[in-house]
Parts: sequence; structure tokens; C-alpha cells
Amino acid sequence: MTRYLFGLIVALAILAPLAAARADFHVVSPYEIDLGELEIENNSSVSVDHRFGIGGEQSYTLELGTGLTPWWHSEIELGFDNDPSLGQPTMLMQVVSENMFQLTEPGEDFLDTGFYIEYGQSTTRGVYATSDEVTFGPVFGKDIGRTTEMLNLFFTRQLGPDQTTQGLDFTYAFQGRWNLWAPMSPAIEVYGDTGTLGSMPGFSHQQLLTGPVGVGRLNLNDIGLGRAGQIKYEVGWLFGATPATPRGTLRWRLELEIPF
Amino acid sequence: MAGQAAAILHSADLLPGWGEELWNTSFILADDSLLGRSLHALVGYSARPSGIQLAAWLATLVALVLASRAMSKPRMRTLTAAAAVIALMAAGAPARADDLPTLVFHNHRFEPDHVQVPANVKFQLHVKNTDGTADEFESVDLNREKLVAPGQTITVFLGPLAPGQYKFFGDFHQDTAQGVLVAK
Repeated sequence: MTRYLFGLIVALAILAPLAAARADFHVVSPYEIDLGELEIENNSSVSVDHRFGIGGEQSYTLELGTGLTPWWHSEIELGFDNDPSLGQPTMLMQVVSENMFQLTEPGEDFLDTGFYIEYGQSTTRGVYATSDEVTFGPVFGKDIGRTTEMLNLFFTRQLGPDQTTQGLDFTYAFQGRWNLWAPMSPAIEVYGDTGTLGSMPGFSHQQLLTGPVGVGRLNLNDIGLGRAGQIKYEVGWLFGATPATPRGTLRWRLELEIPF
Repeated sequence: MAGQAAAILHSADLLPGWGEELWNTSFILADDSLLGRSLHALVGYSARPSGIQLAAWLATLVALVLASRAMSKPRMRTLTAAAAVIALMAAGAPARADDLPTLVFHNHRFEPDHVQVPANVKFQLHVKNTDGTADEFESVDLNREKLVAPGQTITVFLGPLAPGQYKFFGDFHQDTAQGVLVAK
């Protein structure tokens, strides 16, 4: 079993550099704390568009996470990017500390609520330099029948000498999922970036993506890899809904959860 | 208040139920809807009152009406209005989901492994771990996962669920800890 798990971890590491699009294509859940479990995750995307400077960007992450308390989930992430329009090779861009605090007990109140905050420390210098960033905002969730709706409303502030904007950037993300079948449930996702608050560009210049996503999980016990733990995965195709957004973005996420 | 008291006494088996659910107006106004919750907080609305609640409601109403006859007309009007409010409150006890058995992790299995719960209402499920190692109550169908340390009892807030079956499992002992929640 250890051999299989080691193989899965290696597969995650190998898959990561193949990934494409922005690493931010993931809706943060107020439900997953993963206390008592180690989480190894790859979150990747690649954008497709023939227009120069819009398509072709790739990003991927390698993340380690766990629940630190019954209400605090924390992850350390290595974020890689590749942008052909800048001639940028695949390189480590950021080391990120991600934290989700569960503010309400799931199901107890009308709305399940959490608070998310991450700090990204830039690892680049020179021509590819990017700024440090802090991102924060509320995370909402609601079960309606056999569906689960999640909404993220995040604000990002650049920090440090390499910042390109001084204000707060606003992004939003939504996932509506029909919990149909554990190995594969259909979902629809929406990701938007309005730009800097106070100097927002027109809607056609904002980023907006939406499309179908498959969300699933397999118990390791069911596939003969152990008595505990899970593999979770998401894969989807997001259509660009504004001229400023790449026509298509393939995104996927692969996560291995192991109790300890 | 009278209805709620009757429901509590019935939960403790100190009063008969006289019917667990006389009617169900969830399709018109569900308990968990915003308006339903507001009315429950304001006047104790319940979509699924039991027989003993209705009996308490009627008894209170009759007592108030009889008492009001001995009073002057202005007072009578006031008491009649009060009786109407109390009558609404009488129907306001929560659905009786507090009779649910506690789910127990024992020898890395669930005891019991089948639990019947009321459909279309919110309820709490208590999960206790009597094993010497931690486990996690998890369900894809219910969108819940929560660690249960050895000796700990947790509360899982669920519902309202449509009638049907909902699987759950112990994530750390998936080969043995399996169960089903049946909403009726």
C-alpha cells in the first residue's frame, strides 16, 4: 500500500509541471477542515486563445495542507507560472500561506460562513518580478437539497516594491454542485475579476469565466489502496465570457488526503 | 408555549403523542425557510405539529375563552387576541428529531448503521467515538466531514433532507465503518 501511495504522490508532482491557466481556479470551501489528515494537492490550469498575450498562460501549484484546529485549515503552496507571451519559462513565482477559518458550524445556521486569508511571498526578481500579495475575504456555503452552493468574495492587495497597483482588487468565485454520485458529480463554476476597486475597467475589460466542472472523490479503500484516505479531483472547462478573457481554460485539481 | 411544553413532555415520554404529524404544510411554508423561521421566532409557527401539541393548543384556547367571558368587553378583546397569539405559539414546537439515537463508533463500525430521520426538517445527529483512535464522520451525500477524537461526542447539523437514503462512512476505517441515513 505504501508503494501505491508513494506512486500517487510522485504522480501529483509529475502532473504539476504539465498544468496550465491560473492557479486561482478553485472555489474555497467552508466545509473542508481536514483535521487529522494530511492533504497533498495539485491545482492547475491552462488557457487557450489564439490572440497574442491572452492565451497560453499556464499555472500550477503544489500544496501541503491540514487542519490545525477543528475550525482552521491551513496550507503551504508553491505556485508556478508559465507565460509564453512574456517569454517566461515555467518558474516558481510565489510561496503562499493559505488559511480558511470556519466561522459557523456547517448546517447550523442559514448560511455556512468562513473567512479566508492568504499571503503570497514572491520568489521572483528582475524582469519576471512580481509583488507580494495578501488576499482575504468571506467564504459562503449552503446546502440546498442534494446540491451545494459555495461563494468566495475576495480582495487582493499587492505589497512590496514590485507592486503594479495600489488598491484592492476584487475577485469572486462560485460553484454550484449537484451531489449526484461520489466519483463524479456535475458542477458549474464562475470566476470573475473586476480589477482594482475605485478604478474598475468596463465589464468587457474584466475577467469572467464560467463553465462545467466534474467533481469527484474515490475512497482509497474502494480502489484497494488502503483502509483510509481519499483521492479528490476536479476537472472542468471554463469559457471566457468577456473579450478580455481567454476563450477557454482547462482547469484541474488533484488531491490526496491521508489520515495521520 | 403550551404546545412546546407538550412536545417536550412527549419527547420525555411523559405524555402520549396522539399522532406524530397531524399535517405537513412544508410545501406552503417550510420551517427552515426565511419566513418560516421568522414566524417560528415570532409566533412559534410549525409546519408539522403533533396531536398532543394541537390538544394543548385547543385546551389553552378554551381556557382563555372561558376566562375572558368573566371580564369586560375591552379586556375580552385583548384576551382573545392574546389567545390567538398563544394558539399560534402552541403549534410551534420543533419537529421531534431529538429522539434520534447517538451514532457510536465502536470497533471501527457504526452502531447503529441505519438511522431513520425525519424528512424535510433540520435535525442534529450526535456521533460518539468509543474507540481508542480517532475517526472522521464523513458523507458525500450529506456534504459533511468532521473528526471525532477518542471519547469525544460531536454534533452534526443536518437537513432538511428530501426523503431518501444518504450514505455515510468513517473516513479512517472505510472498510468497516459504513452506514445509511434514511429520511422519511
